[in-house]
Amino acid sequence: MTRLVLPTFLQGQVTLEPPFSSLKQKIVQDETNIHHWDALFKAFQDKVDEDYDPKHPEKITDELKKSIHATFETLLLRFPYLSEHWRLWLVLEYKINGVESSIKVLEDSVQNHPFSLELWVDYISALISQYESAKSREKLQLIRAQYSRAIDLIGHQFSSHPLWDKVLDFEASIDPSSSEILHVYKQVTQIPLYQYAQYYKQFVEINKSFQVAELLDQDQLEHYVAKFGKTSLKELSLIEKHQIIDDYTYATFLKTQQAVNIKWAFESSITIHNFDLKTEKDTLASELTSWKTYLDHEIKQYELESNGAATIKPIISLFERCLIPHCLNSSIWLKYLAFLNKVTPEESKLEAMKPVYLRAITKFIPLNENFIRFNYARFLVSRNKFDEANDFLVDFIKFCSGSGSNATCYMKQPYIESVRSILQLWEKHLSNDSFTSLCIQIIEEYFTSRNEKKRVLDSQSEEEDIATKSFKTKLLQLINNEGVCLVVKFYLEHTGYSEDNVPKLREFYNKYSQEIAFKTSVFFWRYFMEFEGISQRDFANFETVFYYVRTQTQLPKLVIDSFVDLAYDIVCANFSEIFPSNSNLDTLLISKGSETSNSLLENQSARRTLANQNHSIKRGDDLRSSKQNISPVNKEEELLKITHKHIGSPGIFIESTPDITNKIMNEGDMIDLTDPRLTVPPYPSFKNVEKASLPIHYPNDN
Amino acid sequence: MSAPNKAWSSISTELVHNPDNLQLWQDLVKEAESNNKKGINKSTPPEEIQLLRTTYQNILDKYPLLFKYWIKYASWEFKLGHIDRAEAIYRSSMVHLSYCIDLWVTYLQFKIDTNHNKDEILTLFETARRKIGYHFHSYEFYDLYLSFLKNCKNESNGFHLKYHVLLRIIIELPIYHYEHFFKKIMSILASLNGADLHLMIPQKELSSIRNPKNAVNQLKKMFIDVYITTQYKVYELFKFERKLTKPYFDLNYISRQQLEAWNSYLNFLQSRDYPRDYVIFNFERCLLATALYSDFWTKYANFEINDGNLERAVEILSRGFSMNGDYQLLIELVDLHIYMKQWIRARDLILAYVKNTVSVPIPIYEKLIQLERIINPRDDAYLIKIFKELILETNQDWWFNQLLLFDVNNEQKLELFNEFKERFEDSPIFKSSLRRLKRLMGVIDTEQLRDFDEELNGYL
Repeated sequence: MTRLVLPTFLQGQVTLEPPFSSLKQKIVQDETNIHHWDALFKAFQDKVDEDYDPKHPEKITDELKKSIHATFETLLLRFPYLSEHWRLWLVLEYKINGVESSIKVLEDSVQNHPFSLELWVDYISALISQYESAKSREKLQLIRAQYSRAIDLIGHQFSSHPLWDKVLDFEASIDPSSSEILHVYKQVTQIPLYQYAQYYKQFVEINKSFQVAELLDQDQLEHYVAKFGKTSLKELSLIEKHQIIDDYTYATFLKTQQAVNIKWAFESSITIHNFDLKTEKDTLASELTSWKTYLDHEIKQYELESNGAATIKPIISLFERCLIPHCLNSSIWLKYLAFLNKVTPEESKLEAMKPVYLRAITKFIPLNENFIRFNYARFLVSRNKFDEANDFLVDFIKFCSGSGSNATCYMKQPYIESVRSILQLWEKHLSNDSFTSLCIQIIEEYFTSRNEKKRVLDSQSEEEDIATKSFKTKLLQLINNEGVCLVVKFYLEHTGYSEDNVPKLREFYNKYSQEIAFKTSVFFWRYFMEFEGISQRDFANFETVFYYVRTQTQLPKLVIDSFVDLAYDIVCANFSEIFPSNSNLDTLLISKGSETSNSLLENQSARRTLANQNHSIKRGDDLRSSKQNISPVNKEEELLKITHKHIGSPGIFIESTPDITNKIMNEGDMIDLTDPRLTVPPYPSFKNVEKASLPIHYPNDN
Repeated sequence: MSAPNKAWSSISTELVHNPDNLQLWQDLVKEAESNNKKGINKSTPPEEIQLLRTTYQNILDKYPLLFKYWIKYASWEFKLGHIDRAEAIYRSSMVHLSYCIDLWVTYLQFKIDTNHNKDEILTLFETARRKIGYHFHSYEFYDLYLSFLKNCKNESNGFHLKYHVLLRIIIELPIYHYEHFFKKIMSILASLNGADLHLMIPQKELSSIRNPKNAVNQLKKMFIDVYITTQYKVYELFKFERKLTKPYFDLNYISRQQLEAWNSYLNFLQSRDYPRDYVIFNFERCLLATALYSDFWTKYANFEINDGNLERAVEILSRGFSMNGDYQLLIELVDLHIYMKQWIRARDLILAYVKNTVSVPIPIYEKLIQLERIINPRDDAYLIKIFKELILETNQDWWFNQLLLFDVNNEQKLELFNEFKERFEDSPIFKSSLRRLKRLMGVIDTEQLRDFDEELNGYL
């Protein structure tokens, strides 16, 4: 489940006219189906093409423009890596609002999808053509600033040559021997790129036009000077200098070439570079395997060269590139984070990892995969940000509980996971005593306020620890019946079976076992069955708990069956103590089969449970008790009667079936034909014969 | 001395290696019958006939529910002129197949053909009726019964009355060919005269009858109501009956649908007002086909247990266990004995099973421990000793989980855990059981979060 945060557009504030409205409806129903979105975009495109007239731009209405904006924004906010859709928007934007506006779209696109090669190339091309039509210093500075950013972000991508080409062409058109162009070549020749040979060739043609000192670092220069037996640069002749340049350039080339060859083995197995929401899951999964081997190899290489010289930049670039098609996959994000965690020095971990966590958590990872979110909380704790971790989890719980400002509904699974996560955090960082007392306070206050229908908050004594108080208050506001079960689980697990605790636990049971919250809690009942049956061996109590489990809870049948199994095991192992007592537990030996049977006729407990919960029996009972002098019915018999009425035809009730009341079949009425005093059997008497041919009443008949 | 039957011998050798192959068994019967293509008749030498007999006896020992082989076997003896032997075969078939309608019909026909003591045959018919009289497809049986009564009636034996009473009984039964019998009874009514009223009208009503014609009309009306009622029931039952596509025994798997059809049929009968005997008959009928499926034996036993007939349940479970050897049935049987406080009997059953089984299922051992505990209630050292032996014997971690259930001093349990610590180091059951034991001893030990770095490194 990937839930979309629905902005204004889908909530009906911008009204779309037909045919758009019906297409929008489809999107609302299935938000993550990209084909529905594409259909809407296609319709927009057709409409724009139809109305497009360069002489009369006003033909395209503001209403349509607004719709187009809102739609693209919605989709790209949720899936910023859809580069095709950014480009689609760009083209449309150009038609409806002109060039300036389309460049703005491009600017947004590289902001939101900073690792897209094609978007960067488009953006820089647009800036360049803008510059060429009206040159200015500011624009030049802007272009240089932006391409430097692009190189920084994506210059290490194996196929980033379109970007490098664009930059080199641009700088060459301004001044082919500028220091800028040299700077770019110095970078590009060292990076293992698919087109590495081309840059070497280009560079060889122009490298003599630069000073050797500009080309080489101080260290390398000294190395060469020494090699020629000189003491300083000035002593070198021009030929010698050119020799140095050639040698250095070639050495770089060889090194890059070697790196390219190694990379090629991995690069060639990768075919998907873009995120499009259309690729089959299996295809993505098999690509992912290639990516993982590639990444593992690069990480290993990095570790081998860990003399401080290696930089993590190429690996980060590789991770980010992998995370374009696989941005929804948390295992890659976690691998990325694990790598960062390993290589980053302690003091800068927060700075390096937090943005990555936040990007993954807030933009990409779907809400049904929350490990990374809880892992983030634990990361914060490991950085001594305990309060921040708590706040993060509380916010997330709030969001899942459906009560946050941007929450759309209650999401049970993430809710439970996040409550568990926060409790685990407290469990680890508080002492056992303060943790259990915190839990029991939450439980008590929860049920008190529930039962009094109002929340009693902030009414605790003052000596309480301020920190735990704020945890408690925050959690208490967000807890529901499912959440409180978890708190109880932690509480009970942390309360040992010591002699002092036994009366405490029994008191706990007596106080809370009737709560609706526990009707569906497997843990709660298993805990008390084991508590009485295995720990305390109080079989009278055990029988009470077991009876309650079978007849009063709302646990699924499978769970009750396994409780019957557990009880059976306990009874079998302790039979010599059970059978002399006057309990009924020993019958479990022979009734286990019936107790787990799916048939209401055999399974007495299930019958009792269902009879207590059957609405029509309850209604009949209420009706009857409202009149006087009528004793309440036996609910189980009533249930069986109802079952009888539709057993041959489930769902269709047949009120009465014809029968002979004094059947010869009946016990005691059997006739023995060998009997010498044989007589004719009495006349048959009937019931309901006249009803045999009544039409059957189907439920949807009126 | 005749030539030995080579084909038979070779199949029989094959069977020694492959005794559960029904096809081989069937081939063996075929070979014995073909008798080197000479066939079997009254002049066949005795040793060859003996070979045929041995063959039949062996296959029927192995598969007693294959009723057709009983019939074929008996008819061989009949053909060979050994009426007594044939009779004996039918009788022994009834040990397992007394609810098999086909067998009964053949047997009764055989009796009619060979025996001339009418009362004896009548008694046998009545025995049969008590067993299979409620069969939905009992047309053939009743037809045979009626024709027997009709053909053998005379002035003194009362068969004429019996004929009418039987018809009166049949029309209340929901059977597939109910119409056939109604037509019969209606045609009798049509020609019923004053002198024969006593054949149809109960004695106490007879004296009050003034007008025989009215009485007959009244009877007619009543029988039409019986007809309506029976028809209604037949329709109801037919919904289930038509799903029973394989109501006989063979070694093939029975489909889930077929098993479910039986199950829902039995539930239906129990829920409606059918008498106990009617339900029991259908249980028996179901088990003729599903004897290899323990669920139905269990269901049948539960039916009796819920009615309080524990002895009957014991008998059913014993039969089921001997039929399919499923240890689950044995466990249910043993539980019943324990409940009835027949502990020694229960232990004997378990011990006999353990003695004769190569790989004993864990639940059987569990039962054995429980029984030892019941018989020696306070001997903790003995219990620990058995646990230890079983751990060594089975090499299973499950026993540590079981040990917790017993009321033995926790320190003693811990000792046993420690003894096997190394052997079950990697076992999750051992670990969780140990954790639970420690909890019982007052130690709080929960699975806590791992260290953050360790957790994240798992993803690298």
